[in-house]
Amino acid sequence: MSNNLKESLEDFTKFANGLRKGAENLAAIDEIKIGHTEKELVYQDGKRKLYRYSQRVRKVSPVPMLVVYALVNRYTMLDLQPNRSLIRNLLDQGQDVYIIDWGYADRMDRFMTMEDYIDGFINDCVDFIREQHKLKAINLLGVCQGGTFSTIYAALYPEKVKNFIPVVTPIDFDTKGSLLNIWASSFDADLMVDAYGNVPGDLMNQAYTMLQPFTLSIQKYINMVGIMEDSEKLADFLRMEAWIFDSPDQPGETLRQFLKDFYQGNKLVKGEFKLGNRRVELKNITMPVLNVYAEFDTLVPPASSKVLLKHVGSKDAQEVTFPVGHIGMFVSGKTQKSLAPKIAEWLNDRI
Amino acid sequence: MQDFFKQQPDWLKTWQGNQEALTKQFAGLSEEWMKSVSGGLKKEPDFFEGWFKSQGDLQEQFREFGRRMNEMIGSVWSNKIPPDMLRYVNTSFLEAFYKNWLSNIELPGGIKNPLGVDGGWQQAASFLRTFMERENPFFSTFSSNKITDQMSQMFGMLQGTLGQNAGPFGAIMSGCQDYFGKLMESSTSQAAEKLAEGFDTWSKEMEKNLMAPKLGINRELAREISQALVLTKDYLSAFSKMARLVDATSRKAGTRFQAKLSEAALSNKPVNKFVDFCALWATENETVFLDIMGTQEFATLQGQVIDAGHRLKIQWNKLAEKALEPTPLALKRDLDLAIAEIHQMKRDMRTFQREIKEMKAESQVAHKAQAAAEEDAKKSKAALKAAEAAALEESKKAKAALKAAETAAQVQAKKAKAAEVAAEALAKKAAPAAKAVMASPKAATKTKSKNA
Repeated sequence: MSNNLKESLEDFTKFANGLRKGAENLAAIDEIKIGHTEKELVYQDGKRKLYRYSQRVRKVSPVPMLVVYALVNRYTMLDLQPNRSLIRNLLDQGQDVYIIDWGYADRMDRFMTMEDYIDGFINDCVDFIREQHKLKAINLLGVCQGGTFSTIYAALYPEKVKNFIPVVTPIDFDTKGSLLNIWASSFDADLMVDAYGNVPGDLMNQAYTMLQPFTLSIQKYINMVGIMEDSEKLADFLRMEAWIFDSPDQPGETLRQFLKDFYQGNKLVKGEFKLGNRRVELKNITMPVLNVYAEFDTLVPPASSKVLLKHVGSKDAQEVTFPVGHIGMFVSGKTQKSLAPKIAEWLNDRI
Repeated sequence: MQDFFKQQPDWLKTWQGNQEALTKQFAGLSEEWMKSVSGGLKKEPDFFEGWFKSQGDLQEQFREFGRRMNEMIGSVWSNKIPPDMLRYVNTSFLEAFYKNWLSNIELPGGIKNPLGVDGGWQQAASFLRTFMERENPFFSTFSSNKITDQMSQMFGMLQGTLGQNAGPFGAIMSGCQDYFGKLMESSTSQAAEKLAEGFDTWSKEMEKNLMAPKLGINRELAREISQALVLTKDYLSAFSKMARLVDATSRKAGTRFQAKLSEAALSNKPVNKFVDFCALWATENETVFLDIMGTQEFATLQGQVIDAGHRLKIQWNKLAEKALEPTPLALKRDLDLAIAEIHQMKRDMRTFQREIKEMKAESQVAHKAQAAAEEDAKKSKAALKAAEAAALEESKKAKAALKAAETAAQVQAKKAKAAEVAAEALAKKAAPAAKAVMASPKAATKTKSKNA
């Protein structure tokens, strides 16, 4: 018993030493930066920007790829740091990558609708790239909510999309695998948007923290002490934290429509969703599709993504899954060497 | 800022030294206790004083560490990560964990750690309440600190606008603010329920003020404030229901955590390590909470709290607008209208630009078609010209050939004529001879034979 006590206290001393060393490391760390890969601004409409990443290999795919990220959080997740970067890995595989930066919504974006984002900026970007490369169609990769936007785009403009790759994309919002789906069906989206205008990113973060309340608000910081002695790991941790809390506010009208039509109405899979005056029918997606989803995703459960292939009209449609979570898809060591090569290989077979 | 960083290592070294010394002292006491137990010696009272003092000092040290650590994180991280994050990082909870952990360590001789007695720290529910007081985001989600921010702003505006004429409004406003302040500080479901009840009684009194004829031109404002009171009541009521559920769930989670701790000890694998202890606490609580949070009943209740909060916020917005109406300031609704109009104009502009682009593209296609047709016409013309030239050439050639043929024919004709003439001449020449022959058959024969 005495030994137990001694061990306990020794262990605690170790923990406390870790804190001390960690505090010193913390003071020595410079500004935390994310999104390292070189890129160039090629097109802009107000605060919405289109970037093209610099090539990293000589032989580049003749068909460029447009990456559409979600409005929730920032696209920098895809390029968190050099050794955790889907973007860098895709470039290394010879892909010519463009990405949309939605910017930070402010009061002037209060009335931005999904139509403005999809039929507006995504379509403008696709046209811009098509013109630049003198191509009829380009490759489209959508992530999470950006994947849902891209799905809608691919259904409305199939002639402009050569190959479509939705990644961890919610399509069926009526699956019970996610607490978000359950919670979002039980409050009044109109009241929320009417009360806030643009819905604060902070509020969105709280909702995500609630998915694993004790892990994300306590356990994570206890575990942090274990890595604080290692300045590299501490910097990795801080980069992730910086990304997590870099949460733009959500444009009111877009969020209203997204919550009501998808989370509450599940209209996309029912074939009832309309963008502006046009009905969006998933069967119009006839180009090759590679549906990528995460096995342990708690934000977008696999069932929510998998359903896409049942609805599309493509004859060439495949799915690929990785044993990771929603964010792990982009930052885990498991996918760093497999996700980008898989996408590139699939695309190269369809040039 | 630089001085602050310089101070840290010194402070940390001192802290570490103290902490290690105290740990050794504490461990030494426990060893001494063991010896005394095995030797059957009775310990003097001052021994226990030392024992408790060590623990108390350790706890104090850890509290200090948590405080300094928080201070440091705030200073160091503020220029590295978004300020919103700092609100989420509160390492002072380490102290609470430490205290809880310490109280659960099994002491020599089965003695229970006296720290466990003072504040019921072994109960997760109690721990959670302390957590809630520290504005942890988990619990602030059930409430909404955004609403209180909004209220403060609105009160400021209303009071500024109404000035000394605020009259009964001032009392209502400060009363509401006071209730919300207490609600955010309330750490138990009972406290929230009491607040809701208190508010109910208070708001009925306030309604009487709002009915008073002295309100005069502010009657409309009075109606809006009255509505705000009703919505506030709804919100407090929904909040207290949620608080009750959180309270009950945390008790359940606490019991489960204690059971797991005992289970581990009984199976001779006591949770001695601080990190393991924290992990067990978080895991067990999360399991119990997520069980509840995944139900439709929870979602419905959460929806009620959220909706009530939003209704209230909308009403506060309305009140703020009312307060600002007499001022020359632009109202939110005016700005919203302007923004909506600007947005629509932008959208129209985009449509227009797209149409122009399409027309341009169509015109380019037509232009190209025209150019191609003109090119074709040019080519046809050139081909016609070439054909004409070729035909002319051919005709020339034909003409020349005809002429040549004619000439040749003429030459031939001439030759034929000449031959004819020659033949005639020959015939003429031959005529006398023939005559002669006719006249002389002999001669004729001779001639014949000569010719032969």
